[in-house]
Amino acid sequence: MTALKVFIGVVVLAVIVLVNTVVVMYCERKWLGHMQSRLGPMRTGYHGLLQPIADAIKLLGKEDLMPASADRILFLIAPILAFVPAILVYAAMPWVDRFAGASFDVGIFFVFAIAALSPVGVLLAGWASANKYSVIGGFRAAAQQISYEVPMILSTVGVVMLAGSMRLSTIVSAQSHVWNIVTQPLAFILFFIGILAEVNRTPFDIPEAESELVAGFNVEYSSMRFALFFVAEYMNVFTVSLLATLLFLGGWGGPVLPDIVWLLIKTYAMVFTIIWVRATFPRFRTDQLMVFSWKVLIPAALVNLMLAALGVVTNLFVLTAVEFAAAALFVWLVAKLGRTAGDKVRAAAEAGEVAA
Amino acid sequence: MTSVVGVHTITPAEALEGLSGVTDIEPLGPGGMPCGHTTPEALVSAARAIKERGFSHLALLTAIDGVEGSGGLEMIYAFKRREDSAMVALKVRLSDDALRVPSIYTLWSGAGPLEREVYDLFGVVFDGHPNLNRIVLRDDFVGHPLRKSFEMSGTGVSAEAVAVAVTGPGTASHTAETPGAVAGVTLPAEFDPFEAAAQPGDPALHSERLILNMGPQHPSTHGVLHIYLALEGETVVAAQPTHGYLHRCIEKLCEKNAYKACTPLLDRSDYVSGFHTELAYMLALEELMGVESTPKADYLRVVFSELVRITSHHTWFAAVGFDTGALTPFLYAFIDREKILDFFETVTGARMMFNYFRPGGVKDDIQPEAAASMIKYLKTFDRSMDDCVSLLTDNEIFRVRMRGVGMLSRKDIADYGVTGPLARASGFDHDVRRDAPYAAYDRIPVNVALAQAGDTFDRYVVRIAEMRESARIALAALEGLPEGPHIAEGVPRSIRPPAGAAYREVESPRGELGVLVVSDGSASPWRLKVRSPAFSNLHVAPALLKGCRVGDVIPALGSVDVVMGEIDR
Amino acid sequence: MGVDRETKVLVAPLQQLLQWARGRSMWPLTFGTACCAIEMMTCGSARYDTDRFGIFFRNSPRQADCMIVAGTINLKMAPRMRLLYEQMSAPKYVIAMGSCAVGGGPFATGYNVVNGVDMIIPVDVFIPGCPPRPESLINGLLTVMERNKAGELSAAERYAIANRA
Repeated sequence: MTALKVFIGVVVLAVIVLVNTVVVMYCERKWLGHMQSRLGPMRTGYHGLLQPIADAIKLLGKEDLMPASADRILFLIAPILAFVPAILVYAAMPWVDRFAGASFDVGIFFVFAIAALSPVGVLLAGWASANKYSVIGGFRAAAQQISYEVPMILSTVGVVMLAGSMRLSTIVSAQSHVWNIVTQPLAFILFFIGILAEVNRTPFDIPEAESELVAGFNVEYSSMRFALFFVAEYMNVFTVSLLATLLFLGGWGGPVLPDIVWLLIKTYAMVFTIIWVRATFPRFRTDQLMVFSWKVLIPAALVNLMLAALGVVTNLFVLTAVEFAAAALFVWLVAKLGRTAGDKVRAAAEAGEVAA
Repeated sequence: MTSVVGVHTITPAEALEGLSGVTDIEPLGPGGMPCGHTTPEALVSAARAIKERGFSHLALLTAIDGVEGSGGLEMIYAFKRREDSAMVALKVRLSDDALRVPSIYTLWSGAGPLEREVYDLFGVVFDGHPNLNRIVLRDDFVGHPLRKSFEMSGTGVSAEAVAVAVTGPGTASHTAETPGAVAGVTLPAEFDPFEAAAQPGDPALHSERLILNMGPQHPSTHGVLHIYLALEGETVVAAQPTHGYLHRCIEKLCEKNAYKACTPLLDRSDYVSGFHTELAYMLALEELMGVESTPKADYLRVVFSELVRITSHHTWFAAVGFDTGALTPFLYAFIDREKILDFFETVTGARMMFNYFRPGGVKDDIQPEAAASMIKYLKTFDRSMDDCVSLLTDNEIFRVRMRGVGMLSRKDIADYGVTGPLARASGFDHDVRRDAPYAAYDRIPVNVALAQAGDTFDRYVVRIAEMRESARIALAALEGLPEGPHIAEGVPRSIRPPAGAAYREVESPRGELGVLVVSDGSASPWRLKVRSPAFSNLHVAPALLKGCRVGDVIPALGSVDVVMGEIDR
Repeated sequence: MGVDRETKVLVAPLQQLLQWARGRSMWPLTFGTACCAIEMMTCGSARYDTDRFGIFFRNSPRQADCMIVAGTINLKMAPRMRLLYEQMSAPKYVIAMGSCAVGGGPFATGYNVVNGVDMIIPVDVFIPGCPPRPESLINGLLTVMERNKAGELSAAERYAIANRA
């Protein structure tokens, strides 16, 4: 009986996650379209609601190709290794108070550990495709994801400290009075940047840099294997939005409306922000991305950690105040670094030219 | 560099006097530049002397098949002085059994690709050229198509030839041994990617270098651009562009068509800004025919040239967005572009391939409603530009990608004959509209955008400023449109200009675009040569890309803003 | 590859579903050579918006359904185009956009221009024009998608059937 219950639970959870992934795919095309003064899908179903379904079914019907010089086993495993961690993390993510796949003591630790497996799939995909572009794409993706895990996780340690537990449902209940985004805005900024890099979204989508490396690590994949990568990416977007909601936006808490509705509203607000960022920003170059992570984000995350420790020792008001100040300072600093980039080289060139 | 002796006191005619080996100095055409005849032996010293006398820009290097059936062919070199836009030319007569001439590659690096093109299409061998291979045609192409002795069958390429082209061996045009290559001379190692890749990488890391092949099909919306890169890790050690994937025989086809029928073909060479090639052609033709365009036509030519400059820069702006990963600038820019294309369609009948300019004027007059609506749009242009530009110019990520990247020095600009916004972004203050005005540019002031650092960001800033300035010029021209006929009286329907040659330049969005028309008195041009600014600009890519990272290559090449149709013709 | 589209009773609804999906989701390969490429780009812009129809441009031939040959193909480009076509995964379609791809266009008598892409690969839809308006290109794309929905064979499949040894 228990085994049957578990099985049904798993199926229900998987269906819910996949439905949400499809909704995220639809939202991306529609919202991106509207931000770009156009309409997005309109013909497939009412206002294009069935577009992701049509895309997925069409992909199923494509020919399955494998390059002759590809490493056969790795080529076949890579999409699976990219997809399985994406869906497995939901085992530990609570959606409402009494619904959780399994409520782990070390919930958030489990989530990050499983998520850390996805760079392996990407790296294998790049390597196994036996194609220069894919290899470069795979290395870049792995380097990027591993580098950005550090500030992302560091920024959540402050949240864990304040909540006193790694269990995700405890973290959510600890926000019943005030959300973590208010008490730790710097942590939220760092976390948001980290999750953009983890799911390879603009401005960190170099591994799929379409204008440079012709679709990067998944260039040799077609049909269902490509569909696995494609769906895994959008599933990751939903995962990190859900995670951000649970950690910083108070999870399922909110007046009047039922818990699950609040959770979905907040999660889709995060999804909207991620899509908004994609519509607006260009992307970083790989080395700039690395520099940004190791030299800017990690020191900021360490500073945030100290501030959170300060907050644990004193009270929330002090914490909020110093965090806001630190966040403002951080944003100003990054903007200044961005604006003055290349100044030295340009000054040298101008001096050189004028003198010539 | 070379010392310049009293540059401002030498007139163009004087520039050719006293040079050993230069005889028969005569004007090139009715209004043309002084042109001296020289021999292959005296060519290099004459060119060097001309360069030292201040004519430091190699504007034109091409060949003309023997006029009046006299056999052999004529090499023609045109040089320009930046300070006052004065030009002089040299001609070298070659007979069919001695098609050899020394290369002037040592004087101008930009002569290298131009000489390869002449070798490819005419079969002239350049002694001392480091890399004399075909550049636009396949390596296995038989014959030299622009010779008059090369007859085109009226039906084009046969099915068998296509089958051979598709299934035969590849067309890597870097492979060397062709009959013209001079033994013992190789491409400078810093620019030959295969040579550079063969060298060992970083000894501490035990790394190997890699050849990366970008194109000719890739998503960066720059057409069929093909570039070989030698990479050490992420850094480009050497780069070499190859092209020819869009060689459509335009110059040969023009020799078979009536003069007016060449205009649509020229529209398609620089397809993003067709009016400029048309205009240069019309100016040259009018010079040959002795026809003057009407004042109204002059103003209309300015209006259309500037508006098409705006649409060309809109396309470039969209490409800049894609190159750096921003999706939205493309959509915002194309909304504005559509409004201008609607105007083109209303007046000329076409969105892209206009065929609108005629000798003596333009084909149709402009409708007053169209002019009024365009004036209204141009008055709000700055605001719509602000909308587009806000996405990129102040964005920190964009600045980090573009500033300090792809530096181009003034020395390379002079050496390779780089013109246009690419040169102006490095402080090279020259614009044909202001310095050698044509059409109505002598009556409408042109402010030239200039920057000093010469990196990708400066090229971006210069083009954005050019767009705004073009809107102002077009608005001034539309508001000040004179009354009168739109085309000169008495221009014959069928054009047979007297024998002669004319070369006129205009400022296209890519640089100095010139058209050389050689007439033999018949109804078709004897030779029609387009001096393509993008050709010279593209071949500065090895110097531009050296030291860049892989992620910088596409933005840097995008800032060169090439149109492959013009490069390959 | 499933060249014979015989439908069995069990498979028929699935086949129809697949046809419906292919008629509503088309991923062209970005393959613009010349002037028509600019009009193809314009087709994706806000006024004409091909994304409304489920058309989503992809950069890798393996993930693309159709190749819009926008521009002139000459002898140097021909082998590359053939290679790209062969890299595409089935079912694949080819749209010849513009007079040059249809029959050589204004350059048909030239010494270097292939007179029509169908000399090299099987073509589904020919779109004349120099360049064709964006509406024409959308018409061509929709024609391919509607044929898909009706279950017709692609030109590649018809060619394969005709040339089966």
